[in-house]
Amino acid sequence: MAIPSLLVASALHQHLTKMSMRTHVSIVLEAAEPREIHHYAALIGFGVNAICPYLVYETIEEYHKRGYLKTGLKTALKNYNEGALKAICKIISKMGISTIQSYLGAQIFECIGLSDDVIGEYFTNTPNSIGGIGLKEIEANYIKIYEKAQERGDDTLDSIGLHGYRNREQEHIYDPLSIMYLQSACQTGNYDDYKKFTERLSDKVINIRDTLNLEFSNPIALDEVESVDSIVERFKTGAMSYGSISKEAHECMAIAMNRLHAKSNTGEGGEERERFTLDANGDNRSSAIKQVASGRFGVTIEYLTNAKEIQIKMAQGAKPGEGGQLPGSKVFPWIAKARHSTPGVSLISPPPHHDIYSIEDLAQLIFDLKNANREARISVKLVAEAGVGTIAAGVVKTGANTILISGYDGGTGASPRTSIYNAGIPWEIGLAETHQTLVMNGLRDRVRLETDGKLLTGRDLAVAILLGAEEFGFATGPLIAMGCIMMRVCNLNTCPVGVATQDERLRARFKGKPEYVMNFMRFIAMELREYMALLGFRTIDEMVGHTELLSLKKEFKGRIDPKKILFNQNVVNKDSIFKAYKMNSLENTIDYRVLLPLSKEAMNGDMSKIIDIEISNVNRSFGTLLSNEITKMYGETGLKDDKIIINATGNAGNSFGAFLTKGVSISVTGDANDYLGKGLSGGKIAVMPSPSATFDSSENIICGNVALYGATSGECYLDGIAGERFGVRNSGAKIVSLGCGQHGLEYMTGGTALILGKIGRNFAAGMSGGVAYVYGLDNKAMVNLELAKILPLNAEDVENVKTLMAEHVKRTSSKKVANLIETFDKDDYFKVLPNDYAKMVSLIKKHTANGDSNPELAAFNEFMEGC
Amino acid sequence: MGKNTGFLDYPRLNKQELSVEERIKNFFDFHIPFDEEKQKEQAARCMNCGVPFCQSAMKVNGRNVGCPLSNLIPEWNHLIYLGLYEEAYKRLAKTAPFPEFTGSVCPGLCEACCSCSINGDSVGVKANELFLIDQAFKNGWIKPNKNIVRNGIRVAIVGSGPAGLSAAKHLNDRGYYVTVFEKNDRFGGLLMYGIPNMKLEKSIVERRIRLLQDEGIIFVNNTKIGVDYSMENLRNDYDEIIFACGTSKARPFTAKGNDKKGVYYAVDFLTKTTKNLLDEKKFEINCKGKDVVIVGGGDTGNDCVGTAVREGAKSVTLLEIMKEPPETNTLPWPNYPNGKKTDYGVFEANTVYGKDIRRYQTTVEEVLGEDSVNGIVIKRVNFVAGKFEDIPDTKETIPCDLLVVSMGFVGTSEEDSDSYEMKAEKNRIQLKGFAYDDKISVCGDMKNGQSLVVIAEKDGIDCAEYVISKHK
Repeated sequence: MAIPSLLVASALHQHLTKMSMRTHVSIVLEAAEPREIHHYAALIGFGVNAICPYLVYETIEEYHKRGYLKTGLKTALKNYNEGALKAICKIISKMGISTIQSYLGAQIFECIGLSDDVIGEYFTNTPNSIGGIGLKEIEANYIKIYEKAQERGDDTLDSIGLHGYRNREQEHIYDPLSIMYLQSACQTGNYDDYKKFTERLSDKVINIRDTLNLEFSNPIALDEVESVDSIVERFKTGAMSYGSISKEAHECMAIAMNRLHAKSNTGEGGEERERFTLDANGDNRSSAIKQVASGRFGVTIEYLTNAKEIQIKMAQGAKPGEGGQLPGSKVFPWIAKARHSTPGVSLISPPPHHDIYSIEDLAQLIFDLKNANREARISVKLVAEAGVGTIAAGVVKTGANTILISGYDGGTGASPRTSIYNAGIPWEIGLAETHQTLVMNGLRDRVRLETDGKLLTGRDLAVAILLGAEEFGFATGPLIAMGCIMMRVCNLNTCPVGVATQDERLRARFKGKPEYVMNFMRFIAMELREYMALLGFRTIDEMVGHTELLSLKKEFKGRIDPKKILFNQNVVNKDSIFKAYKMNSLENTIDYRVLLPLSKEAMNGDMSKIIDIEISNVNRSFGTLLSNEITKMYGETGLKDDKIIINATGNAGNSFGAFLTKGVSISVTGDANDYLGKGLSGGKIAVMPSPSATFDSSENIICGNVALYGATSGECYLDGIAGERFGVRNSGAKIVSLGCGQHGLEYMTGGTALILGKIGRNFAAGMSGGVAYVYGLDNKAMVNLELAKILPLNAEDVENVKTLMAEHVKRTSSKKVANLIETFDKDDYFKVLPNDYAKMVSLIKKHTANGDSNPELAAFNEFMEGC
Repeated sequence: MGKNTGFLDYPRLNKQELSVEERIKNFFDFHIPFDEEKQKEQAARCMNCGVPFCQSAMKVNGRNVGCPLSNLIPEWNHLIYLGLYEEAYKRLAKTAPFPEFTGSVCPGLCEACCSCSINGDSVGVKANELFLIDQAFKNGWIKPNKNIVRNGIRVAIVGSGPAGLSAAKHLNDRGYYVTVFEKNDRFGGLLMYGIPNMKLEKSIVERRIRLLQDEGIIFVNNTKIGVDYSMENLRNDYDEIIFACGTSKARPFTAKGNDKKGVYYAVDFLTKTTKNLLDEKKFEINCKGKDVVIVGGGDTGNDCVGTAVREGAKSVTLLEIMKEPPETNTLPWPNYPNGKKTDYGVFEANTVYGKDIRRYQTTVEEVLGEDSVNGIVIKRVNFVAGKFEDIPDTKETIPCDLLVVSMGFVGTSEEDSDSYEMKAEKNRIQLKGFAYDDKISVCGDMKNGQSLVVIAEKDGIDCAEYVISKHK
């Protein structure tokens, strides 16, 4: 019997390290066992220098012999190795590591299910939350697998049902019976069927909560417990974007949750503005929670203004370290419109928010969002992981109102499999750690804690509350209620029940109704009430954090140890729950004190207004609150161009002109800090140096980093060089500068950029839409050509460039640009155009010329056919 | 799967059939297989569900839903689409002992709850299954395994129907010495004599029996336990005994005049017909030129109709005691559909006689005639609170020269349980799980009551596993 390869490799690595001899040798593993990408990543992470997975190679050889492969054996092996390498690199990159050297032996893993002894001896210092099995059990498992292999009569492998369910194999929460009961319950409103569903689930041991006992020694009467209506107000749907799921499903959930006074979540794909208006029957299709994720798709001032809660997604439970991904086949024209992107082009959200590199940055974003909508709560979505408590403590201090601890088993069918199975940890661990840390640091009363991850029964919620949760997110539950049958093809656009697809043929099959989702929410609340009565609590608030009512079930004694989760009984005190939302105090902002009163007339009448003002770098998010007020009145349309003109002088603070709306034009004579024009939403910004400045503006930085991140429309003229990551995720604004730092226009999906000077490295990386014009042919070397190509200017381009330059001179009085206009030679410029975008634009032109009724859709269909 | 949009791109096709006129001339299978390309397209319709209901083996509202064998349907559908038929067959054979039987006679619990049928038509799983087993036999992928290492344990299996055969195969594959006893001349139980030839050709049953014989199973025919071979000897000669004798006692037909000549139970009618057919003899119970009435509208009733049509009956009438089902299914997926279905035999009769031969909520009040039946009095009934109540003034006399009673089975006959020296209550052998006692196990219909071939096969496997567990 061979020892498991990870165990033996890590043991050797640890031993050599302890003997101070590790660097004398390399560890090479030759084994049959490693076969999945996670195996390789774990082996490297625990110290293996090289792996020869010989069974994989032999299998490929066998495939070759049997004629399964389209390529020769050598190519097949090479393809496998290259594929595996890419996948390993992808995992490493998710952890923010750039080289294998740094990943080797870095042990950035958490363990679930091994005993402290095994961890201590062979995987020393790996975080280990709940204990688990020892060497004996590991051996027994291996012997069992070995014996099963010996019994085989043929050369086929068994189907173990790890991903796709197989009857009598690997246990899944959703099996045919549980799906059937849940759908039947939600669709008929029959609580007995829901009880059958929870009964079915209670037989399964899948999650940590399934191993815990609840203490029912002091029950109260059911009618003393707070009502279903009041409980459901704490319910939210998971962040599933419009794009990942169909319009029908997305709106169905919104209507249901709004009817319940609960909250649905937009996800990161924006929302069609029609939904901000009530339906004729009073239904509200606007999601109460508007998510702000790294892609900033459709995050406009109007979007934010229509939020009751704004959620900043720091990470996603099923795939921490990764951004959302929407395959091109799902980016139909209507989705592209809501996201301000190009139909047919895959949308990959950057893993980090480009405006968050530190906790201070997060505080700034929260401040921006509070200015963008004073009434909305700000929520920060974190993922359960070791150390999440510390992160949460920081997040509380940044001013967040709610923190969501997302568990690993919430997740999308479209996530990569390595992530679905191997990334993230259960919410029980993350929630308990967060609650404990916040209580111990006296911070617990400042935030509401929320959790999600396959919350499906009243019991699930009861455990969550006892561990510290006050609000709850549900995702697959409502999806099942609306007809999802866990096809697990969310990534393929072929969802046969019209939930996770944009294909109109399939969307027509959607049978969900808001009532189904409402039934689901009410049923959980009903069952939770039963548990509250048994546990002896009248309200959720008084129940939060009472871990003393939880204990390990007898049958799991010695197998796992939840003491870290259940620790802390004595810190349950009056400060251990959230108290009350504090209104966001923004009375000291310039917007509130000066701009709003001065703009009132212009906002209400025909008058224009010009405001001159001096500012300094303590004045952050300048113009944002004003934009919010204008948007409340006029929506996306805003005001007439240049209706309110604000001429500032001085040194602008962070987020100058963030989410600035249409009709407001602000300029600063001086310079600006980071995040200038973040999320620009139709307004105009100009920054120019003081006339008394002696330096050459074309050689000096005029604004900080990450200017115009996530801009969706509007204009910005910078008479100087912009910092790093200029115009990242621009999706519609026209932006001009005299140069920019590294990573300019990264992930851009729309709009126009004109750079009249030096550009930094990695320009236009991941750019999938819009167009950039650059002055100076020597800049060509700086362009990342993975998705875009370099072209000379045509007549239309020359027109565009000249118009932008003229506007720039008008707004900034730039001598440099005036000079460029005079000496204009189109051959001094080049254009950067994304390949797919170019194709789509020409297809749309073609279909428009053909007189197609829906040229965009026709173009999309033709484009997808070519893929 | 193979193709993500297969279920949208290709409509479900049912196999072509010979015309009624053509096919009722003989007792052969009348289906025309798909060509390979069509078969691949049909396989591509499978959506490879994340949670496949087709193989879920559930009970929903008292009915079986999803394949009891938990066949790995999405996997072999995918492999058919890819053209990897041998691999597909191997995955089929992992769970299905006799795909050539189930592919023909199974009602297709898999198809009834196929996710494709939520919106449209289900995947044609049975056609795919039959295609694979045909390919397997045609290409010689099924070879008798002659290298089985024997463990020395001797098992007697009584009954060679689907349950007995699948238990026998399962045990034989795992090294047990298996002997199968059959009371009839031919092996296969109901597969041989209960299902008419056009539905399952007997050469197919015999092909499988030969294969099992080649793999070392000993088959003994014309041997009724307790009569031709005493229980005492059986117990002494074998380490383990599995009874899989089906349900031998038909639900009694109690109408007045039930003892007249020309009144037969379906199982006798079908047995004799198939036996005569195979022996190339004249039909002992001949429907030619007769007014035939069949009582009971289940699968067997339908088989009797098909048989009567082929024998040239003057008229055929099918009496069904239950209410006429709704025209289309009214139950939500994944329930087994309750809509009216017209099986092959009824379809043929309807075509030949130019009208629907079924009469619902109808049963026999009295059998008329001197010595032989020459007419019957029928009446209409209502099913109220678990009982049938006559509807007044609905009595009617109709011509009838041959009456076939196909009202199902109640269990093991007293005669049989006496022969086997087994205790039974209300025609059910007294069991604990599979166990009758330390040595004797019981499976299939004999244990569960009348059911489907596929369920018998599954029960045979489970019973074999139970026996194996005793010897671990």
